[in-house]
Formats: sequence, C-alpha cells, structure tokens
Amino acid sequence: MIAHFSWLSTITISGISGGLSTHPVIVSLELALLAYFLVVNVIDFVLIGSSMRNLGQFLRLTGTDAPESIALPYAMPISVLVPVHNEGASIGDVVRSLLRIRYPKHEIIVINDGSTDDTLDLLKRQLGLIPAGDAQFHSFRTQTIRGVYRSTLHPQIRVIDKENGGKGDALNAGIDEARYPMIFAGDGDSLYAADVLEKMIQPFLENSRTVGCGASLRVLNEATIVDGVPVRDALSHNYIVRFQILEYLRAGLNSRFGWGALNGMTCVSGACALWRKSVVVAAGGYATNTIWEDMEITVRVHHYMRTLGLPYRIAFVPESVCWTRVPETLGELARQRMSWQRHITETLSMHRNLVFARGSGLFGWFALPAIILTELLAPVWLFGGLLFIVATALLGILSVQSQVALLAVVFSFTLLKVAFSFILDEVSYRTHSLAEVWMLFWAALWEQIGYRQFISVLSLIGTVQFFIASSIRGQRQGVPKWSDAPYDPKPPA
Amino acid sequence: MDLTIDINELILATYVLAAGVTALSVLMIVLVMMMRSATARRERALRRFETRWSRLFQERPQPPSLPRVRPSEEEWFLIAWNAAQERAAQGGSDAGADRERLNDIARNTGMDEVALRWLAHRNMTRALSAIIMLGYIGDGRPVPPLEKLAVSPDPILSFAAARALVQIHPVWAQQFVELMTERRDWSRFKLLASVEEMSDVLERPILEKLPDAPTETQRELTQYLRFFDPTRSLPVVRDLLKTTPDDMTITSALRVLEEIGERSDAHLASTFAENPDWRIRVQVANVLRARGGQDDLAVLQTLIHDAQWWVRYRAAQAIANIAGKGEQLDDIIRREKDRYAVDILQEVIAEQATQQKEPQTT
Repeated sequence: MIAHFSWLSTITISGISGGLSTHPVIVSLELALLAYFLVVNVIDFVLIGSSMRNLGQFLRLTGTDAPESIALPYAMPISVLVPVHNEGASIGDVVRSLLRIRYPKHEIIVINDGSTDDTLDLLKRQLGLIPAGDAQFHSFRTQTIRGVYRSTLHPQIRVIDKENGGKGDALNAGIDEARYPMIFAGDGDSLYAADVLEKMIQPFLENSRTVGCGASLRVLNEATIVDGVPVRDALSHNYIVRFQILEYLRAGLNSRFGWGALNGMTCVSGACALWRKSVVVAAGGYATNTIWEDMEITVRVHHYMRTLGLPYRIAFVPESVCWTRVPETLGELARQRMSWQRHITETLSMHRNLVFARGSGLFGWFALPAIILTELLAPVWLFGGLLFIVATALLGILSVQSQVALLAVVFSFTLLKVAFSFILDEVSYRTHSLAEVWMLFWAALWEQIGYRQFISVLSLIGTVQFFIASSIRGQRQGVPKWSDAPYDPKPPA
Repeated sequence: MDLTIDINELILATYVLAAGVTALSVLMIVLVMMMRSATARRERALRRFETRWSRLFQERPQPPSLPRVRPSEEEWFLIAWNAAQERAAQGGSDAGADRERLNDIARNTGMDEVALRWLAHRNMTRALSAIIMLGYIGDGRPVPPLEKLAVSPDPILSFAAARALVQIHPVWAQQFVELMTERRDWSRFKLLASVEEMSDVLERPILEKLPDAPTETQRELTQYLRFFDPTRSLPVVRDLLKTTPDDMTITSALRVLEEIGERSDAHLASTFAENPDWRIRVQVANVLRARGGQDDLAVLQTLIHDAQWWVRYRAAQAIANIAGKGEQLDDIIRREKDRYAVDILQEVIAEQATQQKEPQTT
C-alpha cells in the first residue's frame, strides 16, 4: 500500500489507506514528533560523549601523584551553609555528618528557617548553643533574624534562628553571617562525605576562573546511618526509589558532567553546591520568591558573568560526596516533581533574554535551548504524541504496527542511555555492585511503562502552575510570573 | 525520482533498529560485568603488589635481590615509589638515607629507565608519575626532555617538569622563577606549596628578582617571602613596604610580616592602619595580633571600629592576644562605647574559650 507526500514529491511512503493518512498535517505532525525525538537524542548523546571525554581526563588527573593534594593547605576557607526547616527527625545525623567534614579551614552555619518543630531545641542541646553577635555583613534583606548562636562544644559551628522565608532566604542570611570567601550550600536532610569540601575545591585550585562547582548525589533511602555516616548502602526494594536512582545516575554522569565540561551546566544541585561568595553576592544572592533556588542561582551566575563578559566556569565533580533522601511514595514524588518543573519554568522565564542572546555563548545558544527542548517541551511532546495516537485511532487511520515500532525505538534508545550511565559509573566510581547494576537495568525496563509518563504528567502540571502563578507554600510574596521583566544584571558599583 | 518504500519494510526496519539498540544496551551491561571482574582482579593484584613493595621500600638494608617489575605493574610501581619518596621527605633524621635507598631501588629494578621512556608518554598518569620520579632520583639524564616539557603548553605537565628540574639541578631555580611569573595557567596554590617545599633553592633567585621587578611580578613573588629565612627576606619586605604604592603588594608584604616579622615591624605595619583598602587594614590587624604589644593597643582600638567586619574581628583578636585574659581586657570592654566593638570582643573571647576546650580551626 503506497501513499504520496504531496509536499515531498520525490519520496513516497506507504500508509494504511490512501486517504487521510497522507494528509499533510498528519504527515507533518509525524515528522515533527520524529524530529523532536532525534534532536533530543542527539543532545543526549553529545552530552554522553562530552562526559566520557571529560571523565577520562578527570580520572587521569585524579589518579596521578600530581601535587593537587599538596595545594590543599592553601585552599580558600569555606563557610558551609545548611538551611533547616522542621528537620527534627534527622538533624542529629545531619549535624554529626557536618562535624565529620575535614578541610584545612572551614566553618559551619546552620540556619533554622522558622522551624515549628523541635529542630532548634535539638540543635541547642546537641551543640551547647549560647547567644552570639548579630549577623555582620547585611548584603541582603532577609526575614527577621531572631538570634545568632555559637556552639560551646564545637567552635566552628554557629546557628542562625530566623523567621521562615524559604531556602533562598535562609541561604542569604547564611551568606551575611559567613566569614569566608567560599560558600558551600547544603541541605538540612542530606549527609556529606568527610572529604566533600576537599573534593569540590579541586576545580577551584586547578583553575582560578572556577566560580561554582556541583557534585554527584547518591540516594540515601536504604542506607544504614551510623554516627552521621551511611555505612551500608543497600538498593531499595521500592521501585519508585529505584527509578529515581536511575534518574540521578543519568542526571549526574550523562548530563551534568557533560554540561560541566562545556561550561553549560544549568543546575548545580542545592544539596551540594560550592560557590565563590563574591560572585553570588554580586549576582544578587539567592532568589527568595522562587519555589526552589538551585537552578535559578546557577543560571543567574551564568547570566551575570556572560552579560558582564567575565571569564568563568562552573564545574562538576562526578564523585558522590552527598547522600540525599528521595520520595518513597507517589504523593511525595508528585509534589517534588511538580515543584521542580515549576522551578525550571520560572527560571527559564526569568532568564529568557539570555536564550540566543549575543555574547551568551554556548550557554545561551545550546544549553538553555536544550533545557527548553528536553525539560520544558518534553511533556508537551509526550502528550502531543499520545493525543496524536488517540486522534489517529479515532479517525481510523492509526497504524498500530508503526506506532508500536516507533515506541520500541524510543524505548531502546532510553535503555541505551541507561547503559551508558552504567558504563560511565563503572569507569569512575562504581557506586553499585554488579547485582545492583542488573537490578537497576531491569528497573529501567519498567521505568518506561508508566513511571516516565507519570513524571511527564507532573511536569506538565508544574509548568501550568507557573503560568497560573498560584501561591507557593503560603509563605512567599511576589512569586515570579511569565509576564515579569527578565533578569537584567548590573555591573558592581 | 520516485523512491518507493513498502511500509512493512519500514516497520520491520524500525523493529530491527529497536532490537539492535536494545541488544547493544544488554551487551554494554555485560561489558560492565566484564569490566567489574577485570577491575576486581586488578585491585586484588594491586593490593598484593603494594603490600610486597611497601615492605621492600622500608627494608633496611636493601634486600640483595629485588623482584622483577612486570610491564603491567610499572605504573603501580611509579605511583607507590613516588608516595614512598613523599613520606620519606616528611620523615625525620633518616629522610636522606631513605630517599637514597629508594633511588637505589629504582635503579636496581630498571624503573628509572622506564620513567625516562615515559616522559614522552601520551598517558598523562604515566608521564606525570615519570616526571615526579625523575625529580626525586635527581640525575642529569632526563634534563633535556624535562626542559622541553617545562615550556610545553600543558600547564600540569610543564609545572611538574619545571619542579622536577629544580629538584635535579638547583641552578634551574632561576628559570623556574621566570616561568612562575610568566605562566599564569599554573595553579597558584600548587606554586605556593612548591615554593614552600623548595624554599632553600628558590629563596635567592626570588629575593634577587623582587626589588626591581615590575608591579605584577612583585605582587606574585612577595607572598612567597614568608617561606624564606627572615634575616634575608625581612629587609626586602620592609623596603618594599616603604616604596611600593601597589595595594596588593602591600597586603602580601604585611602578610609576610605577620608570619615571620619581628616585634619592631608592628610599628611599620601601623603606618598602614588608615589605608583606604580594607584588605590592607585587615593585614595590619593581623600583624599587630602576631607581633604587636601594649603600645599598639591604641591603633587596634581604632581598627575595632572599622566599617569592615574582618578588620574589626582581627583587631579584636589582636586586642585579646595582647591584653590577655584579665583586668586589662575587661577594662577595655567596659570603656568601649561602640556596641559592635563590644560584640566582636565578646565573640572573640568566647571563641578562644571554646577553642581551648576543643582545638578546631575557624
């Protein structure tokens, strides 16, 4: 059975019937969907290639006896900022984890962001807190600081108690209190390896243009924690957790490491981010009106540095130096993913004038458009595809065989990307045993059936929520809207 | 042109593509398993190798015969040997003998020849390990290839090669100092550590170059003076402070006074207490904290009212150091009318009290 493209007169492709299936609209839609699939996979494989190349160089350097470590005594001191909000259940382990961090010179500032549980009381008991002086720098306007405390047991720790303003606001308060030129932004429910700062400072020691650095995250859910350290890291039986482990693996090794090599990273994870304080302050500090803060500050730093024409790079360390909990129920997962997508959308809206802008370099011409395609438009593509299938089925022109064949291709390419992430993990840090690799690969088969579609639904809702600009968490005023003027960086006075 | 494709063929081709890509994915997972097995075997072999050779590196006297180093073990040997040399360098009175013994082991096993060959290796791990080993061995054979590497575009290799050349031929220190100021791509942190390590040979060329050097070079080199003999570096620093208008050089010079200065340098530092650059004022407070005395308290009590937190903090530390715990410090706090000054003094006192219970850096 043969049909003709009216607009491509040199090629004929067969269809089910000679009538509506040859309609230019349907054919164009099919080709658009196919083109989208090809473009997204080209982007993904370019990143995988970048990761593989960068990983090889990274491992060669860290595997040598080159005197990187001898430079550590001269590394810049770091202020570790950890906002906490109602973390009474885990604050003990978090503090113990923070106290294990080793680094030539660092301080730890825990910011209690208006907790309504016993978080502050637990901190007072665990650290022997006594009142100290006010925050000193006042670079930012934050929610009211109720008190600053110093630990009588551990002189490197201070605690800020403030009214709730969200993580961005808490980090800004921490920056005001921070003494040192580097800031490490952490999470109140994450645990950290003892060498997290030693590992993450390396890109700064190697290249003075480095202004920020991220690192890989590991899932904490099934780990046994002893004295703030995950000591046994078993693979969760919960498939929701396993699917997220796969996502973190792909995001870390396939994507962020690749972007880091191209200086195109769009999100340094808020659980584990090392920044030059002066750059964050010059760029305006963390946003306090966004639902999250990590992607926005990353893109803002890119925007600021590129607009002012300042040489810089944002690096990524592929080692897993941070453990974080992931949602274990569909409800938790739904709330998280809708908020993540909302943050992606609000960030892209706030920095839309950087896309294809003059002087925006690879970031504005490749990284941001890639995020738009792969994150913002992905759920639209998925739903577009589903609607197309439903519409063609209702019209009686659906080619079930061809659709199944196309779905098989999509499925196989996703498996291929999972396999690449295992290869990258294998040549680097081997975070999973062989049995776990097989279990995760098996989970990757099931991930395609239902889970990814569920995530796409949530992503679409998150994007819609941004445009509706509904109130977030009842706490923040002036949530960003698509109609707001975009970010416009100003040079320092 | 009319290219006709049967849809059934197209669908079949699509299924074949999907099956092929899936099979490739499965093969990659099998590859992961094979790589893991190979890695596990290699790691076991490495552990056996390290156990055997760390014992041999420490044996005194050296055993009459040494095991042969297989080609697959050569890289391990270089890395382990370099680590042993590093430990020997940090060791006590036997450090020199230990290093010579390790050099003998390298020669007797033929690994010095391997290192010579690996200078031109494309694998950076091997090239770097070889450079480091040859620097420790210290004979003149690798000098020509190392000189080429020292001026190569790669910052890591060139730095390592230059460092090795200084270790082999201290006369190369002059060229190292020239390269230090030219190669902006060398890691400044590695330079700091290396200058401290090789201060005995780098002291003279740096001290000779500094006084007449351009501003950029003075900025770079001044910071290293704290690693040198104070009797030789302090006169240079003092002259620099009297003549240079450059703020960064002044800051570095004051840092040197903080680290190795004398009591009399506190007065020189005080002359910068009203400098418009806050980083200089911080350094003044640091110098007074390390070198100051009772007659510097007046200057510090001005600095404690500074607009910059770091200046106030360091000045408060200096006051607490000089006045000591007791009536004088209590009196200073009592007479202080500025709330921020009182706050910072109390904070510093509390910090010192906590540090005495559990020494940690802040």
